[in-house]
Amino acid sequence: MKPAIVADEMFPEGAGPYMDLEEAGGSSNLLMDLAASEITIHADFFNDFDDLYDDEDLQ
Amino acid sequence: MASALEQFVNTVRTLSSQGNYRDLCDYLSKSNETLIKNGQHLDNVLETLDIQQHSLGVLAVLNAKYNLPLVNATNESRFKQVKDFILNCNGEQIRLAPDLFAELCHLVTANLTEQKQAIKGISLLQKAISKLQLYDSQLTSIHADLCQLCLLAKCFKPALEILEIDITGICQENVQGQSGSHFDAKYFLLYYYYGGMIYLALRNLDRSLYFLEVAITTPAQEVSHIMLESYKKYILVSLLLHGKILVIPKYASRVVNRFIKPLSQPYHELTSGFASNNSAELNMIINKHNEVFARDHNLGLVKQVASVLYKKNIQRLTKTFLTLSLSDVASRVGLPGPNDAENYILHMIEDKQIYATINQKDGMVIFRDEPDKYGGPEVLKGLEAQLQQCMELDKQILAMDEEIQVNPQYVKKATGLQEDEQPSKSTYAI
Repeated sequence: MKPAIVADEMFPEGAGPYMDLEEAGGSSNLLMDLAASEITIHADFFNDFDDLYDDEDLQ
Repeated sequence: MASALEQFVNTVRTLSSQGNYRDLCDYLSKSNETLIKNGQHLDNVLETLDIQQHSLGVLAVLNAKYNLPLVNATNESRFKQVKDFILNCNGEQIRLAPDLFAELCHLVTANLTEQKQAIKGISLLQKAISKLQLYDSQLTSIHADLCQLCLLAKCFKPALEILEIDITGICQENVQGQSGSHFDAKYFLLYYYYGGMIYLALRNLDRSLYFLEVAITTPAQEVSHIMLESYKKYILVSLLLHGKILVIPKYASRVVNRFIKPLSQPYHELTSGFASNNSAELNMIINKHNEVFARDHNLGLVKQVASVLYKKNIQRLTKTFLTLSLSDVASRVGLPGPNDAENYILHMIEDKQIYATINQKDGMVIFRDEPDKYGGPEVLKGLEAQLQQCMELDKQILAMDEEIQVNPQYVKKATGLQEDEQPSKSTYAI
């Protein structure tokens, strides 16, 4: 039997609907477009740490 | 005490003494409104309950307290109550309401973050994790809270104790009736993102890259901001460690290529600048996107990337020249002067990135060949350790495979398939 083409073995039924990049109106507006269409999640996660990696003494 | 609360206390006491914790959990899930309505009397309720015997009841009350604005109690006394509870509660009971217990820890974490007292919660959350998990390598959503507090307090050792244990199972915290239970992907992603940040701060770039890779290869249908930030850091760590972006594994979700990559354009420009080996060009790109990098709290890492390019270019010089003056080195790699070149070379010699000596009298650098590094007992020891790791991993995979083979859900699905579509008996077993 000819095997079916499956892009992702973990999701043989496909990973779900996607929006084409062309529809999104360029990368600069992409996040805004994504947010408007509610495709983005976890926007409120905590990421307000000091810059832990600013080692001027590295040099 | 209001009669609704009296009824609450009586029900908690009765069901707890009967050992009927399932019914108690159901009851507690419906009591939140009553507790919040009678917020001012909750301390009285706590006085009538015993932390060990009525752990579930106390847990529900403390959750309600953290959802209310502070009235009579101070923040300090509320924290003391939670601390007392986490240290002394009955583990068996709270594992029946993992969602409520984890939620309390999230509320405490958010509160300590707001109060800028992260360090106070670290040992408490360590204890909370050990109470909730069934085995050491089980991930709970509190892991992410602990990492968050450790990052805020810049105190990484307690987080390392959990990060060093490879996760083999996930605590099913959110019970959803008939459809089973699940774990909020947000906390999974946060654990790997924060973990990556901690390893990065400790200069364990290999492990950091692995943690960030787990975050960006998590199956997804939507763009998670946590994945997006993980991807940006993945690029930077990849540049620091390998000098290029490693290929994203093919099992990564299509969301990464479709949305996350275009959203990280400044970082891709930075990569092109790095690949050009031209520090002036790279610095131009850094200046151009300075605001973006600063807003993402990545400017420090970006500066490290710029510094690595100078080092990479000095390394390239060792392939062409045997001796070179410091001012020549400076001009060839784009450093301001011979002193800067000397600084870089000294650090690189210290880190064994190059083998060279500097003659300070005439300002010359003599590059030497790399000594043979594949001999000696350390190499053998390292090899043995790696072999051991591989063997343990193999054992783990076989055990997990076996577990899946006897999982009723799997068996049901596998036997339900057509004969010719049936998967082989075992993917891994010989």
